[in-house]
Amino acid sequence: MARTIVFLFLLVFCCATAMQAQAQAPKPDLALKKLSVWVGHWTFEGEQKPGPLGPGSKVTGEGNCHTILGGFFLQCQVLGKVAESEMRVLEIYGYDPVNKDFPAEWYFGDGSRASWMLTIAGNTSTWAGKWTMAGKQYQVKQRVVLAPDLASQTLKSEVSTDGETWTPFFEMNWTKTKPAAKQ
Amino acid sequence: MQRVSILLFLLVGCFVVAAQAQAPAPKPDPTLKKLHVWVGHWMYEGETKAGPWGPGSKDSGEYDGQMILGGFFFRGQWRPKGGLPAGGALVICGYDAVNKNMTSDAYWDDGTRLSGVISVTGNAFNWTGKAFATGKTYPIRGQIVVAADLMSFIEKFEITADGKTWTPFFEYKYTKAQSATK
Repeated sequence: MARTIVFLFLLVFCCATAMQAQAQAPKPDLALKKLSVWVGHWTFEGEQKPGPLGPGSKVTGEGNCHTILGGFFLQCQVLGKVAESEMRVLEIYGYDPVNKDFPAEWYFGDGSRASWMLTIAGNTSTWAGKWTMAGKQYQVKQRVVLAPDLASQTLKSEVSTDGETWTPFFEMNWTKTKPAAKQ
Repeated sequence: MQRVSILLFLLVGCFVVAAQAQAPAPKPDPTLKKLHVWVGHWMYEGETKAGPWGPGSKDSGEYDGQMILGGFFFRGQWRPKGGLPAGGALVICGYDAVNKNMTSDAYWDDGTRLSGVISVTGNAFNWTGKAFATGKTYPIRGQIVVAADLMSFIEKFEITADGKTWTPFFEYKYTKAQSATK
């Protein structure tokens, strides 16, 4: 009997402690679920338009996205090719509950960097940001539209050196796929 | 003679093409080498103070630092002892060639983001920036001092809610450790 009481006491104590821990732990804002549509493995193809950041070229590659840090952030790792040059990007997306938008940082394998602010309405996200490349800063904006089945999306971006005159930058199609089996 | 000429022509052509292909490849700014002191496996312990930005906590755990993306960025990952596998924090540091300074972005497992710039004087890394926590923005500043033997470092950060009065934010000590055998 005494053993049962001790066991029950420990059980209740453990449950109470676990519940307290859960109650104190902050939870990701529900708005972050809007980013979950990008979780998974994607392939993309498209083109970089000729402009201030270089000549036009074909763009291909793949990206993997997953939530990190308890679901408070989304991380994507992109590996692709622009013309014949390798392109590696680490992307991190979060949420700003005051402005109700999504700040994002892209870190490139050539030292470039892009800082974005996304607003998401339905299946369309509107991006505005700054792209720092080779010691120069450019303004960028893009629009990403997800297909109704959430399995593909189109991306169109523009770049500007002065914030007034905008020229096409990237146009890409992304398709959700299963990752290639490792050999 | 004609064969030799063709061979020489091809050889010179190959060198020119190879030189052109190599020329555009950018290299990490030498400033980034200052971040190499954080590369490796570390044990940490310390405390984050409670405040309007969130609850305080005493933490200890492991920290791993590595250069990523061709050496253009530093990535640090905290893994708290006894914490959730997906918990901890992440920091990415790089070099801003426009403003000629090093940048630092940190992401915590409660949604807090830190964004700032780093200046280095000897073994002291001075950090100035902002914390985005619980829907508010707080100025923060801190200093990370690396020991002369590069085997430990201490970071102390302060935060202000009104821009005038600075209070301790977090303080951690790191000690270099051997990587765990996988």
